[in-house]
Amino acid sequence: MVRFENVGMRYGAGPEVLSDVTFTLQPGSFHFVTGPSGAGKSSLLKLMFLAHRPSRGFVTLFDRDVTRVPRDELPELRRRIGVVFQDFRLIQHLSAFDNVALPLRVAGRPEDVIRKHVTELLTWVGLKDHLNARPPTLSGGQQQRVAIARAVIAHPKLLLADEPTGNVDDTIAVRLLYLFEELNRMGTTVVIATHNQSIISRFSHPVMRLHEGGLVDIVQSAAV
Amino acid sequence: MSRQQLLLPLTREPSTKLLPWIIGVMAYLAVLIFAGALMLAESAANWDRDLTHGLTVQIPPGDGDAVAALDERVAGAEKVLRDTAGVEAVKVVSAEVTAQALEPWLGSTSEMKDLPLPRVIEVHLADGAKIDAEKLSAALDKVAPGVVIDSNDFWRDQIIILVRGLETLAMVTIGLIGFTAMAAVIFAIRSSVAIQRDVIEVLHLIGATDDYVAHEFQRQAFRIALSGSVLGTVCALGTLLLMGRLAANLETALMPDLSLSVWQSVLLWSVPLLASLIATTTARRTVLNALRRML
Repeated sequence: MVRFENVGMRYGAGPEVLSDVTFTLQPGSFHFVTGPSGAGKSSLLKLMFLAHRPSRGFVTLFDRDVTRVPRDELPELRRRIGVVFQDFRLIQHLSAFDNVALPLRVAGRPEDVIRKHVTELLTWVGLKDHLNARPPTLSGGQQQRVAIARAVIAHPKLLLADEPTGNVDDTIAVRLLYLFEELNRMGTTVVIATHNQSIISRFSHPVMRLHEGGLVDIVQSAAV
Repeated sequence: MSRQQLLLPLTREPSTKLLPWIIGVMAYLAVLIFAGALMLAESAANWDRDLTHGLTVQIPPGDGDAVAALDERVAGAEKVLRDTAGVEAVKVVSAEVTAQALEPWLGSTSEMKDLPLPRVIEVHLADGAKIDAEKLSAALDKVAPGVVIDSNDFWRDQIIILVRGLETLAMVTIGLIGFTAMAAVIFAIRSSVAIQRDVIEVLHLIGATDDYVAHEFQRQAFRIALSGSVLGTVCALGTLLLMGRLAANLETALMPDLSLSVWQSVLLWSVPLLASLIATTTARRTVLNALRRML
């Protein structure tokens, strides 16, 4: 599903933020990525959701070498990936409904299917009464749930979440993790970057530990 | 469920808000110029039809000439003309008709009674006939000294050259207006793409193609250009109607007809259609060029 081989990454002419990262994620796996601030968690995810190309090494996604994949083939790959951004990146002038509907509209799904699925999912994440609310009128936690709903609405093969529980209390955080596990059981490969150790310890999944841009090791969550 | 919002609104920013008005003004100017060119072409066609292949012969009155003497010279000239090879028809314009034609400049016919007016003979030539002007002039001069021959072909050619020149000028001006409108669209689209870069990036990351993003902009560009140019066209047609009414009130023989025929009015509606198509194509190409620089 995901393969990194001696991957290095830098922003512009700056120093490397990831160095010699090598790992393989099997289809249907569930991983946490953790490490202190600046360890490279977000950068690692950016390479996986194709927002950046590595400065060296090879990144393989869905058996495609994405370091060399032509630009016009990226949308097809990106549609298989769901992303929960750390800063949500919701479109401020669109309603919660339209934000969540975006991946389906981009994929050309019929409007009646979109209406049904989006309403169901927003109801499930507790935002049934906020379908028409715009992000600036929602709380941080509500915005995060909209962002998560947008990431999972199209049933992605690979789900990447950058600090998805950062703005919600532990009860909702655990509930969201259960949603991710449910998707994982349905075959979605899940990667969650978080520094919330209490959440990691409540789930039994492998943890990729990063430090100063390098992958230290991959251990079971119980061992963290 | 509320109405679906525009994903990438084009006219939300101050730099792009004026775009519909800019296109409206451009369309207004383009329609006026285009209408002017059409009217000119129509007038030229009328002149071309009226100024047939022929000559106008002017016989000046002599000093202290009696009317009978002038009539005699006119009759002599008429005979010479009828005997000339290639002449199809000869028509002597009566003194009354000449006086009527000059009435707007010289006053009423009764006041002109005593004025020494020249007499005019209209000569229609057969198709393809060539007349030796010098030989004819010499022959006419013998029976009517001081005769002046004007070739209609010469005037017609001069008018056609002038009209073609004005038509070309109109087309160049319309082209410049179109170019300026395109520049306004390019500027607006570039600003909008730059301002909404974050949204476009999110769209890309959830799998939107460049074509999808470009379509969002181009359909708005089409709507803006269509509404702006239709408004401009309606205003221009209103202006033309007003001008036509004012010109009709003048009742001046020299004033060209400023009214539009049905087909000319229909043709003018090609301006908003063309403006919308140009705006759509320009928007699409501008967006695609800008997106190519993004991952």
